[in-house]
Amino acid sequence: MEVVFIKTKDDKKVIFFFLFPALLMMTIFLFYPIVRSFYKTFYIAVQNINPRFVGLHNYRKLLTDPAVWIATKNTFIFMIAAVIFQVGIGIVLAVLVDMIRAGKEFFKTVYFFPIVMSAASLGLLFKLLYNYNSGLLNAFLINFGYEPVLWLDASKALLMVMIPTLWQYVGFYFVIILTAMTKIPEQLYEVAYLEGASTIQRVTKVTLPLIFEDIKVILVLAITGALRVFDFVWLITQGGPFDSSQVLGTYMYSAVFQRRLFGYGSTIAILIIVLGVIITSITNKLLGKRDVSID
Amino acid sequence: MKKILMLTLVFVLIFSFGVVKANEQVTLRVVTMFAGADPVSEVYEKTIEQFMADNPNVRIIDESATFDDSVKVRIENDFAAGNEPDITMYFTDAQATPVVESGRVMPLDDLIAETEIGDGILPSVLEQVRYSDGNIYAIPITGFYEGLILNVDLFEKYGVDYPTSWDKLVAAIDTFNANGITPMAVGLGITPHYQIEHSILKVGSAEGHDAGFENGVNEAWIEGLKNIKELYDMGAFQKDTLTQGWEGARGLFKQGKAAMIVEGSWAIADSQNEGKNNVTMIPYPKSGPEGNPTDMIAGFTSGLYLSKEAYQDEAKQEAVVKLFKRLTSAEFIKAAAEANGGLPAAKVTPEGLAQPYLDGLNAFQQAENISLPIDAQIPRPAWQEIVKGIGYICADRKTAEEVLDDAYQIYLEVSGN
Repeated sequence: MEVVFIKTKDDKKVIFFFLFPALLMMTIFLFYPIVRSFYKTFYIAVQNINPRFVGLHNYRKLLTDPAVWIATKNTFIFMIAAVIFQVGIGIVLAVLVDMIRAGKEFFKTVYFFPIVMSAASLGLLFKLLYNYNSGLLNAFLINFGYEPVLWLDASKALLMVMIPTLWQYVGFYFVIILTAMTKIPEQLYEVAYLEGASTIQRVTKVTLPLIFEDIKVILVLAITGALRVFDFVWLITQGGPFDSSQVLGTYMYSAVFQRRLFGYGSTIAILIIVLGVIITSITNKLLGKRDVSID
Repeated sequence: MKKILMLTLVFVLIFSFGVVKANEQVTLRVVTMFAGADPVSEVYEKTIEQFMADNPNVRIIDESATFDDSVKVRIENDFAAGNEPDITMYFTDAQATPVVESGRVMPLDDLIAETEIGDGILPSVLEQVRYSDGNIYAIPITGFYEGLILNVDLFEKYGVDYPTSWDKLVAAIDTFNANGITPMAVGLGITPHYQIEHSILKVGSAEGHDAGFENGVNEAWIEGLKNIKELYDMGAFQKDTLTQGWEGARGLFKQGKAAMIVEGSWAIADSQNEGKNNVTMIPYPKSGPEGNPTDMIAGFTSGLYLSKEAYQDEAKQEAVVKLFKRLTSAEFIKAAAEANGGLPAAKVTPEGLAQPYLDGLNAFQQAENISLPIDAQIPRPAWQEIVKGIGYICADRKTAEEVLDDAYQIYLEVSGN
């Protein structure tokens, strides 16, 4: 039976009516600030007052600022780690939880729990854990007769801020994958079982291909999410020591809020937007269209 | 009948307008630093409550907050966007630019001369906050002094002399290190602010400290930063000093794990840890040939600004001036100085101050030279470059000369030279 859509003259008006509020909000809170930030990149505006036109000065500074390169490199490390650990662990956990019969809801709640906690409180928690003098980690080490460790020195700071950042969102991707897996009909697994497929084969030949579209979505979310990393890094190390844990988000924040260089901070923000657009496009292109239909 | 009904309704309407007019509410927005752990917050909140009780037609929206960077930027942006509070407590030093140059605050000279605003404020204090255009825009409440806060109990326990000279400071560092006590709690990696000021002041001189960047990089600044590196190398600071900020350093001192901390008068209350620590404040010791043992960093670098728009609004003027007067009155200033142990901006004598405050005030009164902090003298981006550079100097990743040259280049960049 064919479904017939009846179009009336007023359809466009209705569509516009419903889309307008969202468009208005996006324009006020997203597009306008982006345009305004782009405008500010051509100015030196200390404390956002008395702006002085400097042409491309801020862009030249961006290219020669070593901290920008460190922050960009660290942001890319975050992206790779997000794909491997956030998405990877999320998938593994989802597959494992999908296999068990009892306690699914329990594990769902436990793994999802960090998402509902505020990054500020978790950041503070991890900062205390890493504290040299009174932190939990060093208390353990001292208890077992070892020397305390400087957990946030330049060689370890990036890893230490990555741990809570990646950990917090594993549960988010886990829930998305687990929900996606519910749409796979049980019969397919039964057929695979009768054909003699092992558990690993069932996962790799049935489960993963059928949820590939969802994996694609979470890959894009994880990769673009890495560009927005800020809270844990700021709360635990403020990007230091010596910019070793600096990411683009924290460097932009320090340019605006600590150094009050609104023009330069806006230039870093534009860099983040450009990188976001390029990386999302590349990701989509690389993953391509590999739809596998359940039907 | 209809006419009577109509007339009644019209009368009711006119009458109700009259009632509204008679009880017209005025809403005032106020922002101060008196919030959170600030010692003055209790006095301030009581004053605001009392003011609202005395003036039932005035409603005060108190947006006071601890002034971290995000709050400062919010205030600066409020002024840039014309959304400033009616009364704002903000800095009067180099950081005052966005507030004053927004053109949205009242020059107070005429009001001081014609009204009771600023009545009782010491003229010398008003001179200290005079803006570069010759006007006074803010009325200070209390000032501050900075120095070396000592944990007296630890000094007595280990028989250590107070560090009144460089040699005694070195001896104290050695003794405390030998006994597993952190000699000085400073967050060099994130907040080395007070250590920078004092090392420069006490290695160089008040003149060198106050040199700014007008004539390039002053030699006293280079030697001051090298002095921090020297202290770092001799183990004066906690092991994780390069990854810490104020919270970490203050926490260490509070817990009695550190013997000294370079701080301001505002931190004395917290450093006592509710009476668990017996503390005192002395001037930071002379650390180089040009330094003066009595010199201190102190002054008035904040005050209350009155919004021009609020003052020119007939409906608000009376209430906002009344509140401004209350918050700059000798009575409030006395109470604030008694709470935070700071320097009162008015001709009042704070009573009942605890011994550490009296020690600090005594040191302040005996100081031969008083300097304002360096961040009150140079643009913020240049200052932040020095702050960030201290960790690099201590870890041998940059020299003091390189850090100061970077800061100087930023100074030239932002000042358009």
